[in-house]
Amino acid sequence: MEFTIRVAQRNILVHSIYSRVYDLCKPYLTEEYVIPDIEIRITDDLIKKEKERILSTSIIVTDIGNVEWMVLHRMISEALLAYDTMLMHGAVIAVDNRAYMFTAKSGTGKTTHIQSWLDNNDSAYVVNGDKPYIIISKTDECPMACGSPWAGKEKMQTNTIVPLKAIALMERADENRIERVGLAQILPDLLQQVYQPENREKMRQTLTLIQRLSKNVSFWRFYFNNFKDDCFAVSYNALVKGENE
Amino acid sequence: MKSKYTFEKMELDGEIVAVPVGEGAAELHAVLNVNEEAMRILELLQEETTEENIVAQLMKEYEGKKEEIAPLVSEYIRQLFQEGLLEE
Repeated sequence: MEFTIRVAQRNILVHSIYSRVYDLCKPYLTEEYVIPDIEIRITDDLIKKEKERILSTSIIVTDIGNVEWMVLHRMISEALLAYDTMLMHGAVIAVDNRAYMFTAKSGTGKTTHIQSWLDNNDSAYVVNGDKPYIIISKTDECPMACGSPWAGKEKMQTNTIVPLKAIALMERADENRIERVGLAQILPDLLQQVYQPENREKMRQTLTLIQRLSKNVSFWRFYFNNFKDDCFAVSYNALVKGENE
Repeated sequence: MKSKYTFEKMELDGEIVAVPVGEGAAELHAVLNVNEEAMRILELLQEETTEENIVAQLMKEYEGKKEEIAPLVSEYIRQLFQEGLLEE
């Protein structure tokens, strides 16, 4: 199948084998013909290599369409680096045209936490609940958080881009507390939530993009307990209202 | 001897850090605060080498004397071994 999607401000022409990829990309299909910035051609060989990669991890994937989905994700993530765009693992929520990312290992509680933002603020919405792209241009412009079709099992996403203002690294704790930190203090943990290409040059580009983030994005350590009543207020007041600076 | 990890140089707030990348980087879960010379030693350790080779290379690049460079290299390599970052 051949179709074009628009993700992170780039038109991506996709040649896929299985229909599942097309179905999952539907929210990002372009309505008419556009000149592609990126062209991705998926082959049986690439799918085979991805299956081998999966077998070496604890991920269980049985549907070949899902494997192709992962291939497409990897190829787009690598291609977007040339456009100053990197992939991060995290949940991004937007309020008043500002985006805030919560990042942590899977299962920590990101989705539960952003749900508390949705429950407490009618204007809040999810940009991406799992794997947003971040555009970090060379200019002084604010980095932009982008929705994408790769939105986790809850499929929480919006086809939009929003200025990214803060990244909070979450860690479970007994009490809720948030503190602002510098990039140097958070870097080892942040790196674990950033897509790291195997190609050395692309990895250097990724590090350059991370470095640029600190110009306009604040970093936080958020020690949280989703079961305590003040959990939403602690993060919201710090990140959105600027309290606890 | 050789580094167990691949490191990339990154500048943060005017300081240099060596970021582990590639295989095994996640388990290290740390970045190294380094100066230019330490970063250069880490780069030379990406390939199989000896302490003597590193000293010789740094003498060329920094136009330094052996009696000044050799002890610093020796101490840094000792620290790297202690941290589990090098393999024989």
